[in-house]
Amino acid sequence: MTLWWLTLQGVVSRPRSWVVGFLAAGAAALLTPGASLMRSIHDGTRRSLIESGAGDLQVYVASSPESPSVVPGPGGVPELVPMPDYAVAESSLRALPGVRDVVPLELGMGSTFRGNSLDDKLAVLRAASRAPASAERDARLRRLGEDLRRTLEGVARDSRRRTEAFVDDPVDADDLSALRAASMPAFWAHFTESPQDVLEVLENKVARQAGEGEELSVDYLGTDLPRFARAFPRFELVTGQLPPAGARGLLMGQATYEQSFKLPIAARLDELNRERERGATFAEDERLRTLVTRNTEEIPDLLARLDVERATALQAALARVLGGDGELPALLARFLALDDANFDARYGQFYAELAPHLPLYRLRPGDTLVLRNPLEQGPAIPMRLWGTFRFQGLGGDDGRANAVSLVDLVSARQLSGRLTRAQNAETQQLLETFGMQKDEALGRQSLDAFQPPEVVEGEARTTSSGTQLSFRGARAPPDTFTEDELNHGSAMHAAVLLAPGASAEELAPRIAALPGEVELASVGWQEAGGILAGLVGMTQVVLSLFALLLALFVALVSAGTLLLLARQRVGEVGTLRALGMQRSEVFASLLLEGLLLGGAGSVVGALVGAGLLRVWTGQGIAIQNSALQFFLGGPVLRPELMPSATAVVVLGVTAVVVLSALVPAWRGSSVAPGVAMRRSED
Amino acid sequence: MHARPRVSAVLLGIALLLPAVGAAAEAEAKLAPEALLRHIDEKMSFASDYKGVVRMFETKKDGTKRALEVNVYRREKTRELLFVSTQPAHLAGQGYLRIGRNLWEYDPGTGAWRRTTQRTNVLTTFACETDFDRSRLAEDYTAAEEGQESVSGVAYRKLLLTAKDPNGTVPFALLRLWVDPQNNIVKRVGYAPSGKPLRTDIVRSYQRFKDPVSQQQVLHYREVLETDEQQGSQMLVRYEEVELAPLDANIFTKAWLESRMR
Repeated sequence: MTLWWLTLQGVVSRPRSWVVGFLAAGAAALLTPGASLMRSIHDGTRRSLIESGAGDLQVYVASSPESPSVVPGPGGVPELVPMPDYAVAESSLRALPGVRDVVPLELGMGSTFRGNSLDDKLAVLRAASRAPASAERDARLRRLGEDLRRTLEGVARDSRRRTEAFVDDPVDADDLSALRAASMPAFWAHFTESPQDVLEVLENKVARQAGEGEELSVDYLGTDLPRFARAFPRFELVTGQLPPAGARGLLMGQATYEQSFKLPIAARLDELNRERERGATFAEDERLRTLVTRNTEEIPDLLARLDVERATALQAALARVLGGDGELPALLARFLALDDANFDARYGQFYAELAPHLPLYRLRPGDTLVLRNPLEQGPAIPMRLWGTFRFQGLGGDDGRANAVSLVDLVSARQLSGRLTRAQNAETQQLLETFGMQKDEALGRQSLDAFQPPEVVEGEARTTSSGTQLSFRGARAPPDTFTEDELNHGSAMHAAVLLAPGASAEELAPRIAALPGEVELASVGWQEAGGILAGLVGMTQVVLSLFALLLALFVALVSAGTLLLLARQRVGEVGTLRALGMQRSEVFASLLLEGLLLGGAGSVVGALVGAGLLRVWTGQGIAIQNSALQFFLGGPVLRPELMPSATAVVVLGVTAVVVLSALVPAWRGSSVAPGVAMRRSED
Repeated sequence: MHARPRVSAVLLGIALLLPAVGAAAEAEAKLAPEALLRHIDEKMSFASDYKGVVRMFETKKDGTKRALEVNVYRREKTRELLFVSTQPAHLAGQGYLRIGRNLWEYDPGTGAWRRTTQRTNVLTTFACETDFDRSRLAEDYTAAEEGQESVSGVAYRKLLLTAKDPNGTVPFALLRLWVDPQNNIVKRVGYAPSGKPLRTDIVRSYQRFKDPVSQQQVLHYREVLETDEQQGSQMLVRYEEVELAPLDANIFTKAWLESRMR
């Protein structure tokens, strides 16, 4: 008790020592809301991922080289061994206690090709030319042909300008003259009589001059679409409808739909609007001005995609909005010349007046797109777009979480290029026909040991065999599939959702112990979240580093201050020692001083931190940024003060101060009484 | 020294030298790198129209096996090329048609054509357009000598080829060739511009045909072992049923391929 009294007196009588207490208070005041924030990010991302496809656990075949993920990472899609019969795996999983739902999944990186503006029009023309000969067909061909000819006039004008600006590649000269000829009415004179000849010229010599076309990414999760929508509470249909059970198709992520399938001019206007809402201005932000320039450069492509009716209606709408007549390209250029003064009005006018006359989206629910998975070298599959969806509260239409699309599992299997049992049997039969079974048995061949190749005399037919190539072309898969096809095929992984109160940690070993054809393993949401969850780990590392640096700062300043105070108290220590106080008691008194300052300071700091957290967050902080919405679990951040984390902060800061008091206490207590009293007299 | 051992030594020496003399007689003159590329192109080009069947057996790293049959039609003087998969059933009809500088890909499932810029990974394998085309090394690449490498007692000449237009239609920006004493390609490694190996081919055998138009002997691949260095897949490719006769006048049109489909 005397020791405590002496310590308290020492602290109260030396205001300089309070610096240590203030330091401890400052550190605790920063770390208390910091720890709560870190926990909020962790919980928010956990909720986001679990409720948007990752589930509580992802189950996969244990012998897979990698573990599953619900988003493609920098290395693409994880390499997994498929579960051969998904239905068997699912029924075993459902039988486990605590499992609420199981949803099959298969991640893939898909793409769809979009030709240039001329390719699109020529495809329509080719389809029309295949119709049986009739007066209606000829009339339609003439109308489409005239529309295309007008477009070609524009392309020819552009190419003329390019020719004036750049030296022509002589190889292009032939194509250029074909383009100019095709823009003349004479070229089209016999179009309805022999459309194929005209199309061959246009497709091979002319179309390429409007650009190469582009591959659009459509990363997807293959799944049972109706079940996915039911199982994950954040799923929200934006346009279209859910496919009925047994129907093939695609639900596109709203972010992909807005970014890749919207008219580029409109998508840039949306981006400009978002930037301006965040406070950016044309006057100060070069990026905004660049977007405006890119929109102006896009005008020829937009014009090439418009048919006569749309172009006329658009011209009239522009004349009305701008209050003056003119050619369509000039009117569009005027309208798209944006600045801080006119943007808001023009943005509103674009959607109200112009958009009804524009092909705002390249694809609408109900349309078909051809999807392929180039990395897996699977076949191209025509697929109906049933609608678009997003995950509620996980960012807007530019967010990463809403970029992944959903396709039915049967199509996903085909896109992956995995062969069915029937196709494997066909392979064996073909190898026999080809006489390659012997090579099959040899396995992988070495590339290092080679010999000069054998040269044999060949026998070629020098007269035509006369047999015309004829075969049954592969058919597009049917629009529907059976329940059996869906369930009794392979699946790469499955999301397991837990019943309330069940624990993922307890379930994981039970999954690993399940008997069956293949051994299963599982990973939690953090691993399944891939790159998205990885950012949470990074945030934790950054905040931990910050806490470490703060602790080091507190330790150094506290040690320095207490050391200085210990030197000033040499005389007092000498007197106490002369009065019979033991060295250990002096050491303990000085250490207690550190404990008192650190403890009191960190408690006060934690209280201040908790108060600040309450004041700052109030009813919650609105999160505008899409990426942050994902990591924080929704559009509103409500960090909760966590008693356990606060206790860790208080104890941690106190411990740092006590540790930093060790050296000053030892130095202060190690002075001999006589020396101390002499120094005091000096 | 006795006469008998001396005679034996001379005979043995002659016997040992004979194969070397024979090989020297067979070996072709050493050409400059660019001339060697032209020489290879010339001896592998047909003046006649070409039709052939290419059969491929692919084994992926995970053990998956696939077999494909492709019909190839070529008119080398006009650079026209058509190749179409006829087997297996789920890929039958997938075709590629080159007209001028356009390469069209046909999807039988949708009946759609698309002009593609992709010259590699065609027919859902790691095959390239050039696997079905005539040799055009001298047109596409410049060559540099890289010395010799001996493998199993045979010295091969090595050449490093650099694409004249890396953004053009060549599948590999860099190509390394191993050429045997008869100036035949034995091994070929294709690289990305960074120097990362993408594909290795070993030519196991050639077949020689007399071209009915030029009356020259033309060398044609017979069996090639191809390896995708990225994915670890390996593919055995056999070139069979060669026909050197005039092709249908309309064969290099979209309509022709569409009409082949039942």
